[in-house]
Amino acid sequence: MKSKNHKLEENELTVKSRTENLSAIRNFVSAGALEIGIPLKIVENIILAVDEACTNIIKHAYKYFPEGEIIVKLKFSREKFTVIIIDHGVPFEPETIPDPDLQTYYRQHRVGGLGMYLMKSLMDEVKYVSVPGKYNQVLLSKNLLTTH
Amino acid sequence: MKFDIPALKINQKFQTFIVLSIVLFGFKLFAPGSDSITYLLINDLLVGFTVAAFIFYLMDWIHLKKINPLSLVMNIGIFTAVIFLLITFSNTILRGLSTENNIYFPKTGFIPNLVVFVYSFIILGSLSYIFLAFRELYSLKQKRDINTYFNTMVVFFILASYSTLLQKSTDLLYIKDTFFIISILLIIINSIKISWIAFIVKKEKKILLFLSIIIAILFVSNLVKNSGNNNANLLVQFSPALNQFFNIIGIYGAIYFSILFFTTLFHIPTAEAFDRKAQEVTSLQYFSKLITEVLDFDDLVKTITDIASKISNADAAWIAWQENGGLKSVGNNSIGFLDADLITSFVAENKNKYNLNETVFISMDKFQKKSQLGESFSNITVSPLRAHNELKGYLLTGKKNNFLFDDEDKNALDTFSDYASIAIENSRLFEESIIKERLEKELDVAREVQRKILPSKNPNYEGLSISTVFIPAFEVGGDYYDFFEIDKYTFGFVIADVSGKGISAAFIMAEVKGIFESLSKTIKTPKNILIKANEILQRTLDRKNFVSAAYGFIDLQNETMLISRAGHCPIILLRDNSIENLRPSGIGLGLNFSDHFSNTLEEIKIDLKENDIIVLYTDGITEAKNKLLEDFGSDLFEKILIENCDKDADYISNKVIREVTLFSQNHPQHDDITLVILKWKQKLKIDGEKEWQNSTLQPKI
Amino acid sequence: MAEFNASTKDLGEVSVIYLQGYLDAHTAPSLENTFSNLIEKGKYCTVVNFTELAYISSAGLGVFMAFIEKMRENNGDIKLSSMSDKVYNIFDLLGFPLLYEIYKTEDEAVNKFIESKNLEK
Repeated sequence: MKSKNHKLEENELTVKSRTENLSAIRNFVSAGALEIGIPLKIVENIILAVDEACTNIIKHAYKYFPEGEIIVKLKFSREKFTVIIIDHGVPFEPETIPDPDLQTYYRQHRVGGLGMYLMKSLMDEVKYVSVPGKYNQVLLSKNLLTTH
Repeated sequence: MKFDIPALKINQKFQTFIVLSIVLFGFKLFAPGSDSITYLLINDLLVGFTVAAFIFYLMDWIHLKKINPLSLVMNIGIFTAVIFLLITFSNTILRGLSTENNIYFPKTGFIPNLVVFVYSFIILGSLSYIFLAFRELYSLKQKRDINTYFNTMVVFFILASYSTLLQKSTDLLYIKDTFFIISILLIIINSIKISWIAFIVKKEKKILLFLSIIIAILFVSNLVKNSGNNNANLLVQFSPALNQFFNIIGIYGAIYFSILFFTTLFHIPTAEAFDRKAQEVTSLQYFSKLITEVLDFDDLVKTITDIASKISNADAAWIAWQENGGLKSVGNNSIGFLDADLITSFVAENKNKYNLNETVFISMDKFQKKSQLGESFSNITVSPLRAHNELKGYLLTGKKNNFLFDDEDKNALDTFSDYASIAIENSRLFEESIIKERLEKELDVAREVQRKILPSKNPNYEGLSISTVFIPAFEVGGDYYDFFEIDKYTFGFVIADVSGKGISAAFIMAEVKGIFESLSKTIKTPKNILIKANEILQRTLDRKNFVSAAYGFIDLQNETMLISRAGHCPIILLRDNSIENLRPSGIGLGLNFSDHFSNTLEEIKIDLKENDIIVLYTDGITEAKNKLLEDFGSDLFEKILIENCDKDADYISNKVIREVTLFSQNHPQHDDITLVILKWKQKLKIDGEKEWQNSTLQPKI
Repeated sequence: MAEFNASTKDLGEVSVIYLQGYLDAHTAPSLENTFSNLIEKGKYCTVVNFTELAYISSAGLGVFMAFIEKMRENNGDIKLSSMSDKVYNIFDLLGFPLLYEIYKTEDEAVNKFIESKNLEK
């Protein structure tokens, strides 16, 4: 796939807030994680969590506004792999979303919250911070020593 | 599609402004000028909406940028100066453009209209910005939400502006004057408390002093010029209401900046000290809430950083928590993870340079990586968090844009970090107590399981005396022994030790018991029982667990004993004052599931003699430790057995246990202790003759 | 190459949707269309074959949530088949096996439909 609308730096990717860029984000994160030798199975979990976080940003922080920026940064040490996702949209507290109840969702035709639940299940740490008027950050991290 | 986003709203507002401007221009161009009230009303409403549209557009823009007060003041100064220049040179400019020498401008014609329009629009735009800047200054660092005062004032501004339309009739002139005077009163009220001065540094205060006096003079001179110059006439012609608004803003500016000048000049921190007292009261309420309620660590650190940034008037706060030998940023409040990590590691690297026993201020000027920060943090505070005199981490707060912390902030943070430390310790203890309680419950269950598994009484056979001692370790070690009365003449016994401890060991024990109980009924040799047991355990034991066991049958009729051993301690045969360790070969159960297990498993047969003693035990005895961490050891164990071999089974086991207990006093027992002693007393033959024979060991594979 | 493709096969009473590639928030609308088309044609018995699906996110899972009730109200169902372990694990994590029938092979799923139709007759 051709890369559009994004610049690629060593550990940082900036893309516009469009769903079409989700695949570029996934490719970027998986390349970075595989490069440092994280097993494929764990990488798959990480990119799913990152996908969910970015989908949330596109939907809730930017409310489908296509010109917003999403910045994805990778940080890694021996102990853990961390992805930080930055946006400049409306503050959105993922931590306050309750875990989904599938039966209720089934009745209400709802799906929101599944992504948040996935993120929490797949990662060891999911944190969120909003710096009002500046940016919001989501931090996803995976411990590398405890996972086999 | 839902394009519901601020950026887009801004565009919509801007579009509205442009459309209104064009309509207004068209109106000015084509509608004949008249003094009729209808014409003026339409005209001024159009102007009013245009101003409103522009103000709303600017509002988002100013909010997005969050400018600091000094640059707001500076910007007001620039726009006031623009107006000043415009008014000063308007005569020249306008005369130059006018074909006639008439400065009372013709109302028709495209070019003249455009000039008036542009002229008015520059003033309109500048006024809008100045108005908004005042609004920002007003709301800056206001502790309570008192926008109502400001909004009331705005309403009166509008009323005062539009009431100028009524000035044609002198009867209603008082309405205009009333609104005007009320507006001025509200301006004075709203200008009195300028709280943001307290939050800027001395250097900036000096600049502010200088700026405020110049701007105040500019505003006054604009006002004066406006009443005598062309400008007034032009603006009045363009829109009387706008002209009045110009005057009101001029008065606001003159008053605000005069007050600002004097406040800055005489600013004494009494107001700030007062505010802080009020803040302290609310903080104390927070503290008590903190200590009693918040027990979840993640919630707690968030609450702590929230309060910390409030009491120190900081822009951001976070906690650097000690974990795995490093510092980890948690509870970030208004600071990104990357910024927090950068500053945290800076503090960690330099912690020896600063006296971090109490709250210290650190200027970010010394921070080499300052340029890497996402936001311009200029000063930070670092306060230690301690529990039981042990450093647990630091509470950090940061200010941006060169704002400084002062001693009041330090005192507040010093006090608060003590409270925060206690709260964190509480939450940790709470979590620990939950874990401990759960562990204890588990151990209770494990002990109960073990108690029920072990035989409650020893079987009673003529000619065989049995003594058993079992001392469980606190954590339940997984020892197991059992007896099986197969029939009148056959007696089975087993001793086993499950790897692991606690509840998992207890469950495996229960399973092992079930296996041996059922196998003992059907299989007649120890070797085959162990082979079958190994097979069954394959299904349930995971890789980490295994079971060591020794199984034996005693044939009371033929006076023989068959023994097999799967990785267990040797079985001791005590005969004629000497020890023989019986060591039939065999691997522990659950370690190997191939033929290798059965191929290596030996079974030995022993002919029993009178006063033979068979000792079964687990490593809890030989590995019992004293306070020097020395093992009780098998030598000592054997010595005790030999010394007491003429005593009965109970006496011997008591003696052994007493010695083990004496040896390992002052050191906690960490594994179960199991001792089973069987003493064979051959039935006395009728002639009382005793056979003394060497026993024969017959390995059978 | 398209990141995602959903093609339909008509087996009379039962329709099979073959998923291919990456199903995320961007490609989910395409699958929604596929389902909408089936509903328009009155086809409510659907088997979704996951053999060639490489990736699914919650936005993709949401599509199944959105249409399942409509299908069941009309005496049909969405049955899922041939998932890779990776995709199944995500369904499992969210508790989908409680709501959806998941089969090892497409044939099994199709036969289940046919069996239940026969029973009705």
